[in-house]
Amino acid sequence: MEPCNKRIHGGNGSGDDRLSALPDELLHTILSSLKAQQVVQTSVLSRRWRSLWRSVPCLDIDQVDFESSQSESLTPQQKLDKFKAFAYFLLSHRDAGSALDTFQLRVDETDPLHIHAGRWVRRALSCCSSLRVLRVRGYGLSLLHAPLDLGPSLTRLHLSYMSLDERFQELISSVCVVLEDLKLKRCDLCFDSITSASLENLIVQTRKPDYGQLSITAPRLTSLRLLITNSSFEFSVNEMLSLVKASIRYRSLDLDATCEDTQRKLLSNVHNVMSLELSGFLQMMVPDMKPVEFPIFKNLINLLLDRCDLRDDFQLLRHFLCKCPNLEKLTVRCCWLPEGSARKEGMAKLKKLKSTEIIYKDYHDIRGLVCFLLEISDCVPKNSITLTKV
Amino acid sequence: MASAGSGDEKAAAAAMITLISSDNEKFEVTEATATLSQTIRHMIEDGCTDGGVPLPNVTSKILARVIEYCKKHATAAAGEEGSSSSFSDAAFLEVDRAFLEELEEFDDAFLEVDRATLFDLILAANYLDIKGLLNLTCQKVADSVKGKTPEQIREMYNIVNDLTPEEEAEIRRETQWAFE
Repeated sequence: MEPCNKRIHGGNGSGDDRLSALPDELLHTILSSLKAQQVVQTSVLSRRWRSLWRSVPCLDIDQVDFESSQSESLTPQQKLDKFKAFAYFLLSHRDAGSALDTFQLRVDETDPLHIHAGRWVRRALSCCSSLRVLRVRGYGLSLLHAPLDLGPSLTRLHLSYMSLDERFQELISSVCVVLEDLKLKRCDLCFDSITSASLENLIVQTRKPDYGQLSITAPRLTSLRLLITNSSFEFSVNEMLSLVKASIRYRSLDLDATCEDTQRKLLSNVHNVMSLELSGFLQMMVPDMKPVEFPIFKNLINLLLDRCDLRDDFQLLRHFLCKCPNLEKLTVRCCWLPEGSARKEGMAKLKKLKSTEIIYKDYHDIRGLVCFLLEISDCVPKNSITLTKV
Repeated sequence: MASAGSGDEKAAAAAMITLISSDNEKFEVTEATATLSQTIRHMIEDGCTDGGVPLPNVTSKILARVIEYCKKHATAAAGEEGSSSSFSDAAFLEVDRAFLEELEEFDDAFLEVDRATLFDLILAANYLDIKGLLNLTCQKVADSVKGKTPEQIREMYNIVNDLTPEEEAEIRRETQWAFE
């Protein structure tokens, strides 16, 4: 060891162990960013570290760490057993009274041997009822069939590649009464509604081969993000008066007429938003169809259209913009555009528009769009139009 | 280093707070900047900030850095209304993305400090109760040990192993699942 070169604050402290000198609470914060295996490994650093891991508030267990090279000699069954043993060890050797705050678990159920992982996950989760944050994800395309025991203290829940049924719907509506953030990524959604009085942020990404419907009722929601990979999956949203931001993205090639209706209804029920992102939208305008009735988007300031179909000569967009009197920023990114210049038609000018941005690729003919934007903003000297080729 | 705000209009002056470092240097900051610290926020609420807020645990060198962080993030909070703060998903809306990127760049540059300063910042962030700064600095330490063996961590941070070989062997036995 080098001799201690102690200076008051700010010295380079080459010989000081500043890390171990931090209070437990701060060391716990640091340990909370590490994978569980490494957290436990710190117990051999020194006496100071021996028991710290037993009260760390966040645990992150990843099955993939147990598949790594060091345990190559093990059979898959042995690896799984080792993984389970580790998780049990972690959850059962915690200091009494140190509640687990965040639990993150990644489980691979693709291996036929792991088919019962779900039951095991449930047992593991029942050890931590006072959890605030829970993230569980399966790997790849297989689904984790794990009935969840979720406690009433949960505020944030992120689930990926899991199979969820009506029991989940019930938990969200009546058990998780303080849940604020819910993220469901590529889960199998075998239930038809999400109802929550506390939910503020919601992200749902559907799974490819899904058919079904989901109705969302969350009056306190401020932020909504839907990523819809299959147009057969029907979302309905009950009016959300506190919604600030919404992002609705369709990633599907098979949008059809039934979908138009769903899209319009979705749009109508988010009319309070300040920021709105629409992707894969408006692929719906048949020329000379009767105008679609939108409510007024009186709070809408920022609108982003991404990969939307505007080949109806901007008719629907024109109609939609009429309902956005306070729009300040409009971005049109990689949309399908009509060829040539747009047909001129009288419409209300967007008086507050400050900035419009066109993001396009080589093969986009943006002349029509530029004309259209000039037309809606020609008496608004403040509006700047930016073109960006990507 | 202290920003002079004395000649400003009354309204602006009313919202200024004076912070006093352990070595008696005075820093004048806006209330919006200062209240990123929960500790100072509570002092303001209790009305005990007249004549300046003494911070005996924080040197001027560190306080200047902390204020730099708070200024940047206070502007951020004002522009953002904090509505998406709990959304870790950065790919939400285009505007937010550009904004978050800028903030991330600032944070990265901010963390380019020697280890002693990093620990001083952790302690200051803890004392002043600035959650964002505390998480940022603790994350930096966590990143530096990620994937390292206990031996490597001891060497990096001058941790003296005061466990007897028997004790260490016993701990390794108890926690065998974490090793190998």
